[in-house]
Amino acid sequence: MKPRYSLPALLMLGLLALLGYGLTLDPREVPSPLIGEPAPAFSMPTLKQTASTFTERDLLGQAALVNFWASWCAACRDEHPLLMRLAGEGVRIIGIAYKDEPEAAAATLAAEGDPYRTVALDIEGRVGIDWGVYGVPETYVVDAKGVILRKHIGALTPEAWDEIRGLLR
Amino acid sequence: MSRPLSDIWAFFDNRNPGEWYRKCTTWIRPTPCQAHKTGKGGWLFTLAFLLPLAAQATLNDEQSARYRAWVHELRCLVCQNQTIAESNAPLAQDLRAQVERQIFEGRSDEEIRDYLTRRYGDFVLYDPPLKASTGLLWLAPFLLLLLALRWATGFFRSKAGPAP
Repeated sequence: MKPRYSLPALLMLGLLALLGYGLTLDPREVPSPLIGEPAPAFSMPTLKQTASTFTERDLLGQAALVNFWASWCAACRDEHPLLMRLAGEGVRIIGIAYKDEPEAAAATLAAEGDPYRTVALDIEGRVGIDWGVYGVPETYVVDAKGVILRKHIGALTPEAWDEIRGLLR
Repeated sequence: MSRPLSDIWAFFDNRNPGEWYRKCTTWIRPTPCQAHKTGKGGWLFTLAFLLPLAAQATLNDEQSARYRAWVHELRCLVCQNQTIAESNAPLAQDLRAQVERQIFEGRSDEEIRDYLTRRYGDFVLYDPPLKASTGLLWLAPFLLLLLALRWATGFFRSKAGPAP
């Protein structure tokens, strides 16, 4: 093969490799700029203790999964059994009902089980905007110092959990 | 009255709700027929289209111009091919309200951009900023043009053959 034919061939292979890698990515996923940042300040009423409010200070002290969910969200039902199992294993899961009615959220938890230590109510969606939420479900891994370590977009899967379980130590 | 006009009137006609429903033809698309069986529904349905105008009711002219410019610059993260001006997604509505509020409070463009990119990243802007990470994105068209020109001149030179 003459040398001058090999350069286009090489470029083509390189391009194919790049595009092939691109096929494994999800173009709809928006990476979060909050990774490594402290959790944004918030104050929300809770479902179970109606008199108290839940703030970012309450996240401190123990690593937790912060799970944005809603009773109207179908994919949240998919991840619910996994969340129940994790709660049974002692994982601290904070639920934030995003743009949901308190009665509907309470009814869903009563029917399917409640994996959350605390259920906070983000009725207007303002807290969701502060956390960069653009759909439900989304799960954030927050360490004991209140720093966001990871964001998982979509329903939590056992494979995803295997990747992030180490972060909760 | 022509047929389409009588259908439109029937849409708003309060006197015979059932009659309106029966009169609804394929000339008006099925969705309004299914959703609104009464004359009242017709008015509500129309008013719903006017709601976006209400969002601008509290801004003066200059602020409105800023608002319009901003909502056409921001990407709806749910319907990612649309701006938040075009999208009907709840998140787009919330972000429009946020932008309107911030403009009303007198925040600068810098502050609004900062507010959104700190939460959603650069992807929320339709115009990607010129940074180290987007350098290749901005330069690639020019680089490719240069490469193509180099290849083209080399190709045509070889076609022409050696100089006579």
